[in-house]
Amino acid sequence: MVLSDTKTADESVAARNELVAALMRIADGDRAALQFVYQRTAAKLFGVCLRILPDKIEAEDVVQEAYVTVWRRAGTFDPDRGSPIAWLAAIARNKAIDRLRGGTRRMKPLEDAVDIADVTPSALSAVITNETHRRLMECIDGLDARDASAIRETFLDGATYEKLASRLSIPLGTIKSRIRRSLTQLRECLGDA
Amino acid sequence: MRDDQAGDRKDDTRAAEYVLGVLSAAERREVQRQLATDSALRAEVERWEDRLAPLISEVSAVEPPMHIWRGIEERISAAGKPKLRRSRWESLAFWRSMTFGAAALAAASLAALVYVSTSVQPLRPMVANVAGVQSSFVAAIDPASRSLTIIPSAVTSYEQHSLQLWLIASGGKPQSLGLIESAKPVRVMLPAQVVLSTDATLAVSLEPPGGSPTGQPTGPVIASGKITNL
Repeated sequence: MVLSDTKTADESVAARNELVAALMRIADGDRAALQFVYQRTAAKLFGVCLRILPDKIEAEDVVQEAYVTVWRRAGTFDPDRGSPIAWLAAIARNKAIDRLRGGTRRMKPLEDAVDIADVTPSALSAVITNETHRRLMECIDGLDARDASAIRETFLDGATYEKLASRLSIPLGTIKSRIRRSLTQLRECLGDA
Repeated sequence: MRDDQAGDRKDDTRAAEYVLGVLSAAERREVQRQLATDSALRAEVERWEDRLAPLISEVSAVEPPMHIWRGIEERISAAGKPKLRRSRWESLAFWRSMTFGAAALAAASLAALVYVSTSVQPLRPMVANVAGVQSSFVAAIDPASRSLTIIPSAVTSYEQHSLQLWLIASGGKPQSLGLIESAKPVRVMLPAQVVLSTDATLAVSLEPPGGSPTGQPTGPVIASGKITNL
């Protein structure tokens, strides 16, 4: 599976190329290509949506919307501007975060949320296969440990600054400046801007 | 962060915050509105999406239930074929074939569409590929403002005729949406009695100069296509 298995660098490149080719075919209306992309990526994207929206019904709805968007907008994907995985993940995350911010969802009991939000170290190491992944992880590790975990958690669960501040019991202004400083540091560390 | 580059840095920070997911609903809408017209910001957002995407490796994959794929298949059947191609919309030749004012109008409409499609909106924009053997148009409908922009993408010149646009609801009679042009986009407001739905068809017919004298198409239909949700 493109988004989950441990792969060698060559296999990663091959998987990426397959996804790019499939997105091109989707743009021409090829449903089999959409199914291919779905089979390769749905488990990961569903996991991403569930992490942001612990309500399973909402996560299911959002992941469906995400693939319908992939179907409609595959023609706008430009492989020169980014990786297909980043493109797919952005579609799913944006929909999930917008849904989360919609404020209409049911509130789940805390136990459920904690259970789903659990991140295992093995899941963490599984996909760090190619150079880009490794570099990002190194740069995040270079941050202050508290900031590194705030960046990780926020990206994964879509928490607002306000939520983050109350979760960490620190003033809003402090968390904002820490996150912004971390983002600047990350960009400089990645050295691609 | 240095003050002499404050503008760029501010945009970059906003892009990063947007991708990270820390912004409030109102702030996200603001960024999404800006993304429709600001290609530099769009590029920043894409770069941050690329930078941070590897973090999803920290989420465990969860196999979705079987009915999820069936639901997607149903939804794309209703949506029809993919419509937007970067290559066509961004092709220079395509834009050069139109006057500047027309291109600006079309670009503004598209920008509005992109914005609507990326934000949470009860009314989804609709598009139609209105195609025939020798001529084709692309139509974009904004249900919120009830406006329709129809853009010629490849149109044979029809001298001594007017092109008239029709909307045909499923099982209904054609309703005129007015005259359109073969060389530039035209924006029309939808009459109050027109009911928008995705099973309706848009069609372009050749009519005497000034339009159909009968209120119904009198000449050949040169292009048609179903309306679908974007």
